[in-house]
Amino acid sequence: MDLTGLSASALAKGYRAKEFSALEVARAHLRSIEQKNPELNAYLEVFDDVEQSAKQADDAIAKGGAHALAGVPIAVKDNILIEGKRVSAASRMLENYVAAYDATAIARLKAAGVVFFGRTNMDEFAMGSSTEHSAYGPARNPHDTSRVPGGSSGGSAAAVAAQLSTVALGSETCGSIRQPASLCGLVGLKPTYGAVSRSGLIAMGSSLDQIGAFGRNVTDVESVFNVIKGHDPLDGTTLPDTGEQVVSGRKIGVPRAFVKDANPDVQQEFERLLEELAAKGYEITDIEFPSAPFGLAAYYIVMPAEVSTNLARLDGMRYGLHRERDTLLEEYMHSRAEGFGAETRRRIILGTYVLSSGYYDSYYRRATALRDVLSKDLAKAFAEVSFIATPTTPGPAFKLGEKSDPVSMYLEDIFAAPANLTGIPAISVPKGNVVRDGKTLPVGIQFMSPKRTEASLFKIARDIMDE
Amino acid sequence: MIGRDDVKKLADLSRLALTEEEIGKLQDEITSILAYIDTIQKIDLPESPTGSAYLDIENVMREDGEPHEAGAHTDKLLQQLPRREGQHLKVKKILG
Repeated sequence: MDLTGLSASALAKGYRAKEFSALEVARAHLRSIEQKNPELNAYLEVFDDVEQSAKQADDAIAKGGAHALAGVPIAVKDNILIEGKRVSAASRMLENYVAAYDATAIARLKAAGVVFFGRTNMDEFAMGSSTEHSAYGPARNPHDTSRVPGGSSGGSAAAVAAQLSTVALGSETCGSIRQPASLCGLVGLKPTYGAVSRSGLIAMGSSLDQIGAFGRNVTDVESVFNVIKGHDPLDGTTLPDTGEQVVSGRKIGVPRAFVKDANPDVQQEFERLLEELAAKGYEITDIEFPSAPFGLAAYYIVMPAEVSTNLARLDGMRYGLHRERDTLLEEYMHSRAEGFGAETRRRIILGTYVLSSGYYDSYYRRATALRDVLSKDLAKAFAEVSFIATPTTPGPAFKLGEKSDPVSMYLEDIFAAPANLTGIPAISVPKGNVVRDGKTLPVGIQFMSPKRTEASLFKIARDIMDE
Repeated sequence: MIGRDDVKKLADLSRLALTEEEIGKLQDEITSILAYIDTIQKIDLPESPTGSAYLDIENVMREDGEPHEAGAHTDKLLQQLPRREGQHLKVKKILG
């Protein structure tokens, strides 16, 4: 039996039926990692205590009462803190940084007894849509290694798609879970802003950042989400625990004017999936979402503004890369210039520009106003429909080096932006395929729903996946 | 169009030591990114935003108190200092 292909729920069953142990499952994954990771570059580091924590999980399961995720392999994006482990955000700046505490999501997963396999490759500080901006070389897409796995959580997606882990944690600021899920053929969830604590997540855009999960099926993603979610005194933006919320109907709204930005064959796949949903009893209806096409432009104001602010703390003094110079100012300037890669520097400069005196009104203020307009458009839409569907990405995985122009890379996240800017949850489901250069490549369909209704997203995702 | 001197000024404000070549490249890139971002000028927006309907959150307060024992994390954090002297962070002199 190929233990690396099993779902988290199949592992849980197998452990309890004594068909195999967590240690055997861990070893099977370690063997796959040894074979495939050199080419995929999905993991930046595989932890040296994997077997030890698998044994602990086996003990806990034998005792009885262990969590359903006990002994399940999980890969963690390199911007989420695990105490005592290095965490670099795939940057030279934090190459040797060791986490002093556990992120809340990690602490909760530890309590459940999951087995942390390692830290995964990503675009530096989560800035990018291909992992080509990693300081440690790009990750590659298991479906076609000449193509990118997406980003910024591309290493996590590649690891799960190549069966180098059962599930993985990623983070989103704008599409960084859903886009790689779409490009690698996985389920990826961006939770409601505030559903999962950001404590211990290296900050990029604080009003947008959210930790979420990847899996090869819906139930695995739901299981991870149910462990990591919930109020946390260490993150004042986490939402109070008010219990599960669901949408009432089965009506799906499609913003046609927005969707036309996708490749023609991606649109065809999207239409085919809508027909499948209609056959399963969902009602498909056109909706207006006039502000949606402007979301990404607003994102490229809000995010750099927050990036330039958040990354100001990285000055080479208290931790991180330090360059010795004659004066303190020169030390700041050279530590930062050498520690940050090109995309990170670009966004810091852009953020400094949009926040400059004289430009604030035309950029940051307008972007903030647009977030309100987006929210109002969504409120209007959700008064009529339960879900909004779009393709997750405009196209399938692209070749390494294909999007060297920054703006063409940014446009990867055109369909992702509304959910991040307004805080609603969204899920990407791997149900479509398109062909490029004779290769069949996955593309996802995205569903959005009102805040805190993740349970409904899992339900519609399961319906379309026949799970 | 953003000027070369503007990029230099922004780099200084951002505490980034850039080469002449990097400044030239950034000038082109920032100009093309701003051209895209400027699509936001085309949509009618309310004069005064209503605030943060999109975030839908409130200020959170907690009682004063010690979140943890004094010194509980000190050693771990001090170990990360690139330059230290005993229990202190060592930096270049800034006053003559």
